[in-house]
Amino acid sequence: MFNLTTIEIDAFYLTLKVAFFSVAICLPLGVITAFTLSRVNFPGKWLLDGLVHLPLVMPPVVVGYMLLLLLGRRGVLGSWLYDTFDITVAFTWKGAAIASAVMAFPLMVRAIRLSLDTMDRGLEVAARTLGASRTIVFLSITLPLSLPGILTGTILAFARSLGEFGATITFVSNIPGETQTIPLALYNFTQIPGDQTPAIRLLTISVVIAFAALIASDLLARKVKNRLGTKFEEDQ
Amino acid sequence: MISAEFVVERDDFFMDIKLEIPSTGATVLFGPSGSGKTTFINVLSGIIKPISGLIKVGNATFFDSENKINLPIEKRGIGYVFQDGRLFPHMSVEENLDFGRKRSHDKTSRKKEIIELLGLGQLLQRKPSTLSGGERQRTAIGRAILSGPSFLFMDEPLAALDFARKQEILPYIAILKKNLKIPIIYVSHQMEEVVRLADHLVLLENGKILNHGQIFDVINSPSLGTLLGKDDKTSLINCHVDKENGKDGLSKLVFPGGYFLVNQRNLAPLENVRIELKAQDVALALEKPVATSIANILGALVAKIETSKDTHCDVLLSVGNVSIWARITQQSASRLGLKIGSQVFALIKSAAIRPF
Repeated sequence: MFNLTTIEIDAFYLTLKVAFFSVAICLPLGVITAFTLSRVNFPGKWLLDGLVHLPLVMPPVVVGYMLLLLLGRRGVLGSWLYDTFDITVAFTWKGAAIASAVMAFPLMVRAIRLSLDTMDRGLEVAARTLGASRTIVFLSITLPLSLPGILTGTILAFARSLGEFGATITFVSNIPGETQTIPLALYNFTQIPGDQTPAIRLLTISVVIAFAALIASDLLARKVKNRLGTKFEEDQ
Repeated sequence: MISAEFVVERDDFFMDIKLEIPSTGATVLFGPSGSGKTTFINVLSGIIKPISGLIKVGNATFFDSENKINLPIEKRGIGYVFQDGRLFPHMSVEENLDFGRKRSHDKTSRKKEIIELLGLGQLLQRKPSTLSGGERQRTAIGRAILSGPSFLFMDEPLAALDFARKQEILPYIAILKKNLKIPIIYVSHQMEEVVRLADHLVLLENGKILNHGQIFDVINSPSLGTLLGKDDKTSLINCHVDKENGKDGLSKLVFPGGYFLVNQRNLAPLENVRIELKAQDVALALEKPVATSIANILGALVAKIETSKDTHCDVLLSVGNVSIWARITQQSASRLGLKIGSQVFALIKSAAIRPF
């Protein structure tokens, strides 16, 4: 059972790699976007808000196809990337990471924004009366206090990336060793009639990853909670 | 000195202010809720931007709508103690105290002194969530002071505390006022805090200043009476504790014009205290009573008689340089034949005198 096949090993590492880079793209952009939506007022804010949420409400296949049109070798951005930097994202694992990132982005932004919206903004004002500039306030007050939201967002985005299927298969296809993550490999196996063992083995791997991620996130969340001192004792 | 002239308009609230605040002692902003007290200090500290005006503190211009100057909050060098403390929950008490100190201009800070003064020594490693309400507010006060402010703003710092905690914090604020010489602007709607802390009093109602000035002048002004919905008269007198203190359990409080004997043991000799004396606790006599239980008998001159629509009248007495109000019935006043310039004796029970 534990002697994994090449396809399984490839799919396993690729899934983690894609999810990791997907989160790596999402996280900084998500924090900036969430902060902008929560704290800055500007005309056309609704447009940004809508744009961020699009992948959440559109069929993943549509998102994947839009990415292909945009970032494909002959796409608007894709051809420019290829001509200028010699970078191809369509039909590569990089493309898979981008597709996952786009799909996970709204989840990330929503979680962080919720944290920022519910945070006591009086604390930021207090920090400024103590002489801290906006940047210092962001780094020493806002960011640490929105850590629970950032953590939740990261876990959601990671989980979403582990399971990304529709946008990925449309944008970067199902190439073993390059873009074939566990869900895509599993899909492949289920298309072949007969022996179900390979599919069930992948299913098991998938469950193990999901559990490991959940446990890790729970440990982290506890740590953050302790740090923020959320155990309030009322003084009555 | 702060000179502030500004207009604020928000929703259905309109505020039009023109005021100068001295840079010594404590100025208390007093008024009912919704009168604009907090708005006032929020404008001074830069949290609220007025639609027009000119705000200067010392030589610095904080706000000038004509020349488009609006100094950011963090550049104004003020300390702000919020009603709800606003301690940073992810930092220990010491990290909270250091947050402003690190950024203050004078790093020759009095951290040790302040920690001792506010009794924070045992709390330094604790997280704010484990502190009592009083401890939180003490930390917040220390944090604001350690940022080295030129003015300290306090927005009802005791409002969220119960009576016992208030009594715990008030002496600390009084000590700060005495020891640190940082001018304080204190927002309150509690007379007790006014009587105890204020050197200057600003009365606010509906975004307008009703009256302002020295506490001794404003405390008995008709505008304060209207604000409180009663026409009590109170005398505030600054005294110091005599060095021969503690005879028979009574303290001797000396003021320019005489002394009071007070039922209070724990007053330190030579300490400055302020006493509050309600007009209805002062009785008058034409001759000095000989056999009486009343401990304080002061020779006085009648300076003013205010007759009320009721059955009483208020008599303003000069005792040395100090003014004391006495409330007696109109019938008594005419029986004694009181006129301006009459020589009388003010009789005050020691239990009626409340020293702070």
